[in-house]
Amino acid sequence: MLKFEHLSKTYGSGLAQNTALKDVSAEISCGEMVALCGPSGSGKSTLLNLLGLLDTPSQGQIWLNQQPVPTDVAALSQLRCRAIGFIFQRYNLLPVLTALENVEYPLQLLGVAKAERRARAMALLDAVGVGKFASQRPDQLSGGQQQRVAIARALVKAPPLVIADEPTANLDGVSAAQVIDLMQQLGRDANTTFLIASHDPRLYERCSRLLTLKDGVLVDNHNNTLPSARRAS
Amino acid sequence: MLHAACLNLWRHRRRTLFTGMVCSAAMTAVLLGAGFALFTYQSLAEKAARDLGHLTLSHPDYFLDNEDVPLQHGIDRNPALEKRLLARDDVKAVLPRLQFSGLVSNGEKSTIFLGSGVDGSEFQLKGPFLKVKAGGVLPPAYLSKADDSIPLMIGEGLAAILKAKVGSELSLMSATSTGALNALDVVVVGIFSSGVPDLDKRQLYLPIQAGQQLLQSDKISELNIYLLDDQQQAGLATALQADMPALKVTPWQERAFVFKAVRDLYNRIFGTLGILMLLLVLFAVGHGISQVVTERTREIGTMAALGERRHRIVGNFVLEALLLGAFSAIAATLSTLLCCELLRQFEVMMPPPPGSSQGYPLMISFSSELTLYAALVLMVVCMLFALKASLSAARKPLVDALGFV
Repeated sequence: MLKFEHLSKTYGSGLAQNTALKDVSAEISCGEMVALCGPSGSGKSTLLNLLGLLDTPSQGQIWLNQQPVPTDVAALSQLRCRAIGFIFQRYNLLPVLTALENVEYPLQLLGVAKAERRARAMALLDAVGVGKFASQRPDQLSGGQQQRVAIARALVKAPPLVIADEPTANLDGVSAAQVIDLMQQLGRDANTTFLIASHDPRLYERCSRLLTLKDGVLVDNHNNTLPSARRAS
Repeated sequence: MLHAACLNLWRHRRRTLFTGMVCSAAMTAVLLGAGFALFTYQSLAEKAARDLGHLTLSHPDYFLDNEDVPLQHGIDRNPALEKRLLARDDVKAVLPRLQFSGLVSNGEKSTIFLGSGVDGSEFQLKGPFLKVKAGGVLPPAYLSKADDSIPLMIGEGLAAILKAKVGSELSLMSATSTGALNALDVVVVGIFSSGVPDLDKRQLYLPIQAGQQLLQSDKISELNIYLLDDQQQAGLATALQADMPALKVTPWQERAFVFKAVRDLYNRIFGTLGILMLLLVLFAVGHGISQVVTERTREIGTMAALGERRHRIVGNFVLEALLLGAFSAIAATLSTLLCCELLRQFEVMMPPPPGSSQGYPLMISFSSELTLYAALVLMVVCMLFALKASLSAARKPLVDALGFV
């Protein structure tokens, strides 16, 4: 589903050059829930940005559904629109839109008719348990509620891949557990691949695979053997 | 897109209101400044046209050459022409005028004067072009009978020099059209102020027939034509000139030296102030719009990350700016109209301009054309700054834009 080979990312040049990611390769199957682990500065976010097509690698290649990802900005934008859902650490909901409109937005970009996108968005908001807040705007919601809306937004177009950056970092224990359950359940239903960067050990337990980065290098890539882990279908 | 732009403006209403207030305050300042300049120009033009007549018929050399004797370049009165002109719908009045100079004496003291022989109806037709300080104006119809005293209006400065009051008897002395010296006894019926102290020390008015009696001539210096609508001026001037090639038709603009001098001076003052104001407006509007867009960099990054095309993102911001500019322009127009009305209701007097003894009411002329241009400029400026700021935000690397705080 997602394959990347020899990915490197270097920032700056000359003496100020900083290599954030060094020769990272791996392959992730359809429906897997993969955690990117490692201390701060290990390159998790950099790898996530590259695999989410938000940034371009200095070296290496990425394949999505057996197709090499394009380099053209417009084509990348279209690919993100069709194939990737994002859950950002700081939710990044559009502040002027209501929860329902935020979830509708990716469908609007895909040209889905208003009635259909409204129905799908509402169904997903109900599924993540914030249906009653559909008409509220982000600043009227708690952190947990916003994160649920962000999850609904990421999943509403049923993308094959969801990129999540520290989805539980700003949540209390109960909310974090609920969010993890939600992602696991919705992902399983739609056979969605999740790639999650996190420091949260509770999340590691639920992932089918752990990729561990240290100083920009992939130092470990192993399957999770815990019973709570979600398996690739 | 329009719906989204309206929604954004409405939901960001505090920010919209603040930026809109900056924009509309800037445009209001421009409209008020320009409106004041416009009022000044219009007032001066109206005064000049009222004093001189929209068109003047005279001898071709009258304004070019100094006369050897009075009325050397005078013209004969032409009742048929005056009747023909008065029959036109666009002509308000046709008034003959005699210009002459000489000495005025109270029997003990003499001083020079600049005299105007006028038709008595001029004071009724032209409106309050002089401020009568004492007595009244010349009678509308003066019949030069031998036993009648000749009425005279003199400037307040001249009255002070001669210690003249209403009812005082004075003597006018002047060279006749044949070069001889002649004198005329007159009675002061009114003392006026033209608003220009230097002029008030010299100026006097008397009936045109009395002036002709003094100069011993039937001629007049000029025939002034007053129009109801100054838009007709150019057409009538051309027609008259073609009709009477022996005479010279002069529009008031060619004679209004004070108007031209003041307009040139004000053009420089208002022009410089206008440029400074425009720069301030550009800075304020540009800063406001840029800040609003820059603050939303993360939003732009999120939209781009979700797959929104760059040109649509930028287009959205430009459309928002256009709407903001349009709303601000409407608000500025309304506040300018309100200021105009308030100034009309509660008269605010300006101090007398240099060389004048009379203040004038502060008024703002509202110009639809100027408002339209200002609104267009405001909208274009808003759009350009929104375009620049949103392009810059949309070109930011997505990772940076998403993390923008």
